[in-house]
Amino acid sequence: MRKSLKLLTVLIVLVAAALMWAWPYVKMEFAGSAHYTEQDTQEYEFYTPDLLKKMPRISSRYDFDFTNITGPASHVYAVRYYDAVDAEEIDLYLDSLGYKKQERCHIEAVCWLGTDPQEIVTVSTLETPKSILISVIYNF
Amino acid sequence: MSKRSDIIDGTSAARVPYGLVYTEVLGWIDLGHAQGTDIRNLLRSIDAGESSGKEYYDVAYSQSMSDPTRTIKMGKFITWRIKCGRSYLERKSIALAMMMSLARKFEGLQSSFPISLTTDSGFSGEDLVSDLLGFYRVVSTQNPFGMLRPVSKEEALKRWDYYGGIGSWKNETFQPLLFPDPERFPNASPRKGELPNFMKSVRPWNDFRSGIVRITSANGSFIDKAKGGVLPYA
Repeated sequence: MRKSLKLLTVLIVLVAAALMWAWPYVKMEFAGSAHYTEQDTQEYEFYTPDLLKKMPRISSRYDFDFTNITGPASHVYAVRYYDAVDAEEIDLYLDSLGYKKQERCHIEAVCWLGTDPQEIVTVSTLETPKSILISVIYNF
Repeated sequence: MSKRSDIIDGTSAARVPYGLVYTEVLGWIDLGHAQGTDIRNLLRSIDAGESSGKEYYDVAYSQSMSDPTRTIKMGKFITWRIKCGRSYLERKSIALAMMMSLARKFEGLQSSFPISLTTDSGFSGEDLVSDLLGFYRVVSTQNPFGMLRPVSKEEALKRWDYYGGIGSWKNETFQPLLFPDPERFPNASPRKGELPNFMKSVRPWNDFRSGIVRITSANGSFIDKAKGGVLPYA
């Protein structure tokens, strides 16, 4: 085999390997939304903000969402605790981090504000399915 | 870009900041678009202009998109110069006209090459009507879902599966696009609906001759860092 052909083959294999490695990240980078659990390690590490990673697990059954809203732009990172009814532990956790509970909220939920003016945390109590949903909203 | 997995039960519509619901009155609603945070900020900057003491003040409104790692954002903006002394009703009318004018430009950006390769979101059937709902949640009624009749998740999934994803149905107007129940109306096709009265109560500002409102940037584009970016307000 000619030397240049060998080099080209090696190059193609290297590029293909790099693409295969990067592909999940490319997919996640362009995703409009994602739904995952803590066991989906790649998604969990890529999307989940520390606030949700360290949040008390008030139910043994929970999962996560990421939504990229374009237009009136925001990103929403959320954890949903199924069968949970009491958000007191979540309140204590947010309070310990310096978040302040707001009297008013733009949705029918409890809004919390921290020091980042682009960030709002909402705690929603839902019926179908019965759950507590905590959303971290970043507005642009 | 809305996906089938974004669909949630209609009973949660007022309580969550994202997700997709189907309503009998407005069709598909993207709850992320309908949060109204952009409108609240816009009205706040008009209010700030009114109390600035200047005879004329500039107000910018933008829509954008950002990557999940919040590295960059890109979008469209417009800037209008407003003569001080506007009533509360006029402020709402100006804000509505700014949102309606820019939302069309932004959806146009999303449906243009090469962005159209990564998303079918440009003029997606639910986008503009959801933006309009966001406006009325701020200026009129925060929880309008009792009037809009959202359906259960199962009912919504039935429509999605029968008619296909909402991204493939384009709507360049602020009128609702309705998808009749395929079980009750076999062979039905999507049709335009009527906005409910509460969503027609503000008329978008259309007087650009008297000098009260002048357009200083009609069609601006920007790219900026998503965290702590200053454009388009620089």
